[in-house]
Amino acid sequence: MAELNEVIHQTVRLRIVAALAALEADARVDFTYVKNLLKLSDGNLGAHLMKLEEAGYLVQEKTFVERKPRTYLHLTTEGRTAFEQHVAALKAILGDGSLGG
Amino acid sequence: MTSISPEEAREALADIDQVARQTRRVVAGSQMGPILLLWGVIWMIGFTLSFLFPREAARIWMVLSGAGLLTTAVIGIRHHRQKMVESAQARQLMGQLAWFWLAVMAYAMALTLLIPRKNGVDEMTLIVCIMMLAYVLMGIWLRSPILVVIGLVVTVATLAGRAWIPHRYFMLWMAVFGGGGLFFPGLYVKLRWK
Repeated sequence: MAELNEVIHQTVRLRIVAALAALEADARVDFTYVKNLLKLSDGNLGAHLMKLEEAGYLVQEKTFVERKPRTYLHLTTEGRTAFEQHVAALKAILGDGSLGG
Repeated sequence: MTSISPEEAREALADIDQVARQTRRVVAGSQMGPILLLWGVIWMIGFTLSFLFPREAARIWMVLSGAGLLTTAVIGIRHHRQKMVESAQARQLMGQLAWFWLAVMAYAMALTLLIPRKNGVDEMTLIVCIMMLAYVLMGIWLRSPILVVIGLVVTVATLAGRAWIPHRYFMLWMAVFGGGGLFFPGLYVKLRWK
């Protein structure tokens, strides 16, 4: 049986991962875009991203777009799998064993 | 090991669902909203001008359609250059959608040229129904109920207008229900999907 993931379970991190997992598997999303979408501050989002990156669930890529610095966020395969297992564990608690987001 | 109550699990799942839906909406709406607004305005102008200057209708639609296609391309390119969400899969889908619409327009053009029709009302009904079929198919393809609803509502309004509105006022009817049928959902998407 899938277990709850302690890194992902925290409310803000759960929302970050849920947002990234909702997009295509190869999607890279701009930091500011996620910040505005989830209505978070730079510092708050940055801190949670660090935790997710340390766990190997997310990659932050710093690059330049039209000479302006940009940070892109990408959910790793491990991150996507961990999220799916976390969702399965939540459903199991409710007595619904089906997988999915 | 983390342990939570069923109520907390239910709340977490609801939160995941809400964030996932919001994310997909924001990503889709950032491009879909402006394009619906644009074509809503084009249809309102086109049908109103066709009502006022029926003899110039073909020329009016040629100019407006060309301008619309060009502006749609500009919106797409600008959206792509902002690079808020990058995905090879999404880019591939955009390419497929562009071909899909080219095919729809080619069919619409060929059918109106090759199939004899009695009047401008029949011609417009045929074109609008083909375009709205494309909206329905695109909605099913992209799992976007709003596109399916727009397609069905505008099709029904068009067929109702053809059947019951005096032909002289059909173009005005279409300016309101055809143009409005695209414009107002576009406005809704732009204002609410963020």
